[in-house]
Amino acid sequence: MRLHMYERALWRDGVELVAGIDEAGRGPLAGPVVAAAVVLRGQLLLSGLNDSKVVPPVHRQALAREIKLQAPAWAVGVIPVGLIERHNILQATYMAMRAALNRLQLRPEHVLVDGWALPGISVEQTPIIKGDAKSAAIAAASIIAKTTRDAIMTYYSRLYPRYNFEQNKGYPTPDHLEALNRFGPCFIHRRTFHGVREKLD
Amino acid sequence: MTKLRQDTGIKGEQIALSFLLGLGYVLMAKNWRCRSGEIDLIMMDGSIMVFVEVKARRGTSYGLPQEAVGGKKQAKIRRLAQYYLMGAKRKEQELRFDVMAVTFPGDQEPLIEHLKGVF
Repeated sequence: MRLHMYERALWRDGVELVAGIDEAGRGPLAGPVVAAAVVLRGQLLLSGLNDSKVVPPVHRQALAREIKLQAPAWAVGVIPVGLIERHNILQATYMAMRAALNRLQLRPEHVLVDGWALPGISVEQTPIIKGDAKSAAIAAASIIAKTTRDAIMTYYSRLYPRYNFEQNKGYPTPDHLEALNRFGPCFIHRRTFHGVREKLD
Repeated sequence: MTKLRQDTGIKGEQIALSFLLGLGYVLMAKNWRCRSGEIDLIMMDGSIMVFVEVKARRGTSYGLPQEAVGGKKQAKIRRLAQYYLMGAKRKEQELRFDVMAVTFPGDQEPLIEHLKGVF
């Protein structure tokens, strides 16, 4: 299984606890950025585990439940809009990832990070571009991050029903942009983002 | 190796690591070893991969820590770096070799000296 390529190399070096970290919600115009960390010991055998973007949402929730049962430890980090505006989306994403990592009940010996290196952590790491398609730990983290963020956006859709957050999750879809045009930004819009900034009075 | 000497080494490595993390370096591997030996720290300084040898000493009476990284040791670290890069599948990678000299002068604060690109 190609999905354990990096994990296997680490096990060969005697590393037992490997964590995968991934994020969800860097692109949207509204809502928090969410990161998840999932620790694996040995293989994670789940059918349909792959990039969270290609796993259909229905399966995603069932997968998330299964990952939470199987993984020795998992955690999420959520960084709200206020911090995204005060710093920037990249720094906020790093914060979310570090928060997820720090909240793990088990300290991993090595971390596999999706995308680029995560600064400011004292655990060994390997950044992997397109990691959610290459590492089971990152794929699992990606599923947890995505389902957690989806749940948060569904909750917000009840507070701010005009923007259809339940469907678009804050991403700039036609219906979301139209609502933004008509009603202007709400409390959870990222006011520093292009597409929102222009709509401020 | 005595317990005290080992402790000095481990403490030195921890101090060196937190110093470099504070500079924004990213830790790739700690005490990476293969059959031929060990590299103390492998870190990324931006896009440059840095191989760090940590030299910890109590007092300065036996000379400066950085003087303890001689030609033979340097060649060995270079060879280990080659092995690491083969395993990490990074062929086109800019490299640097640093020495972190950490001195514990008795009961005072440790002295940290970061020597960049020394070999």
